[in-house]
Amino acid sequence: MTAGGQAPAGRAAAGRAPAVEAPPAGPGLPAGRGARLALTALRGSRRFGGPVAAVAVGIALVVLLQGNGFTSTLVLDMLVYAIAAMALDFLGGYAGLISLGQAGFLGVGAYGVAIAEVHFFSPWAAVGVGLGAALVLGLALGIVAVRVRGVSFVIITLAMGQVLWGLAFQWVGLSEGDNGIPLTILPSIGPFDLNDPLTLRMTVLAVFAAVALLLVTFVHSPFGLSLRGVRSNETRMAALGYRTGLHCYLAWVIAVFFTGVAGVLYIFVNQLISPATMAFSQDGLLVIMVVLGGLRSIWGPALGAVVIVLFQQELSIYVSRWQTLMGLTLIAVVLFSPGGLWGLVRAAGRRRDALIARLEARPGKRGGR
Amino acid sequence: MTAAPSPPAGPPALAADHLSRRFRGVTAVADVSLRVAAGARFGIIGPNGAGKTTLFNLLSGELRPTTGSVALFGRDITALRTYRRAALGLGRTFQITRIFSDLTVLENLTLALHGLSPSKFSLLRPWRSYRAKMAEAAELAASFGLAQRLAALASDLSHGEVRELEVLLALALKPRVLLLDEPAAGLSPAERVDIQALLTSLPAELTLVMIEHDIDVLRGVVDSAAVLHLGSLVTQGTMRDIQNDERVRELYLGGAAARVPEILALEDSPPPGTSPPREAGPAQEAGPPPDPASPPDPAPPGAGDQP
Repeated sequence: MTAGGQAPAGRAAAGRAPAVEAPPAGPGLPAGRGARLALTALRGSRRFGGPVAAVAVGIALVVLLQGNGFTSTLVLDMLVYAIAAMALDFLGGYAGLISLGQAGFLGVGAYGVAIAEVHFFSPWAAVGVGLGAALVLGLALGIVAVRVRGVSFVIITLAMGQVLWGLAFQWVGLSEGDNGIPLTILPSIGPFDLNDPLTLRMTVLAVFAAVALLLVTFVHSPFGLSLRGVRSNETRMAALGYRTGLHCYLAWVIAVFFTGVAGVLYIFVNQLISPATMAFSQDGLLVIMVVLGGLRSIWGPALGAVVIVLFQQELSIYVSRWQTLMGLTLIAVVLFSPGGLWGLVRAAGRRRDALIARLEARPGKRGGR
Repeated sequence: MTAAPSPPAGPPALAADHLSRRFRGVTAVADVSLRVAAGARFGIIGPNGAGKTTLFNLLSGELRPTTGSVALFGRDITALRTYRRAALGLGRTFQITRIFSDLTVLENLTLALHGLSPSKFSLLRPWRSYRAKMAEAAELAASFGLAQRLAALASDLSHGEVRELEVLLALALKPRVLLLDEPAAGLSPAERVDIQALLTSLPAELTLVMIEHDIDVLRGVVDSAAVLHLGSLVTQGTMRDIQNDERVRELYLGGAAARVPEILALEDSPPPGTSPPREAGPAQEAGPPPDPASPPDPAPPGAGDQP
């Protein structure tokens, strides 16, 4: 039992491990030395756990992306879908507007790049067109979409996604139909050349990190708080002077734009865009990523994207019925951790904080006697 | 029909002109005209289903009137939406409390404090870093005994604390006219005293319009009132006038059971004589044991309810 107290406080996982053993061990120790060590470890994990974990994940990603093999392709796919899932959670988790058409907007970003490159032969202009198309479409469709809430919003975004998918599928003159459009030349400027696989991978990682940090900043801002307010009680928000429709609209535009960013990266990574990427099943997968990872946390959906892409690409090699397993996993998570996978992380953090409070209270009591 | 004891200098703070609202053939508010002078303390009284909350929703913008108009300090606001009215200084609370129950008390108050400030669109700065607003939120909470509850989820608050937060959210906007929809509904007698103390401590220039069933709370706070019944204005005047008005007595005492059976049916009041000479009707709302003499007014069934 003393092993718990001797664990170093360095890493989040290591700091959390003794937490479970400390309470039974603590009272038995003569001088409370074990308890003190555990307290130090726990406090260390509370203070440095987040940053240390982030750095560790960052280093791991950089290392995984070095190779040319299957693993780095897998990680790239995870990062691209993580961006789309985080954007969807910004809208769905915080503002309460679950969109079932996000794969369509991802496709718009990708098709924008591909079609522009076919017509203009300038990779950078193509990037501009891809991002611009997502932004303009977001601005235009948002006027219609945010007029409704709840199930109506889900249905209207589903319809939008299906219209976009239908365009990609049937407007053969523009989209090449079912065959899709390949992308052969990626943008480059000076030594920065996205045609170099390693540069591309690091760029995707950097964009993922930037989008994640931006969204985390957004949700902690007064605007992010206002979205939670709208989801919680829109009538009251109006009485407090908020033009709630405008807040929903802005959240929608941000989400659609970042989904477009994911789309641009998608075609860079896959070098092909076809209607299959925008299919309804992909809309559903994005929502599943968000719910599985945890609504109302930016990191949760990223985790959800990792798990779903793993299921889709890794597990499907070994298990033909991987979708059944995915469904069962989703049911289990929704039943036992409504906050998703990230909800488990949060719960662990809360348990740790409660434990710290208990350990901190103990010496005081003793001194009182 | 001015409600203030002294003649008002400017236009009335709040004026309703022939307001009517129909819901599928049911007239919830029928041709109600009111003038509330700046700085007045004005009460709105009436039995369940009288259309009090519908009238409030028309004044604050949650509902559009079928006919009639609303003016705030002489400016016609009938066409303005709720958030625009709030920006012009019209604040309100809700009878069925509308707090942000999955947010903490601090987050609730912060939302209110950013409501009329351009900072509500700020994306890059954490809301916790707005020191002036954080201090203001703490001060507001302390003014009403919620200082220790800032970190608590609003859903974990007691019924009394929720009522307090409800009023604080409206006060955070520093409104010029405040509409209070039964701020004391379902509160214990001690909590009522707290609410009353807060209401009487409000700045004198604030115009207050409140729906309230508890005549005791009203007597301490308002100087004049209007009585609604079945959507229509029965009378308005000083509190003394109201309490001496024959029609109001009939409405409230249950003595006119034969003449106004619909009220008794709605309120399910005890037989005449068993209730004190005020208003009748048992509490119909969950919460702390209410004072039997001053029952809360639950959502008026049908006509007066919000859609």
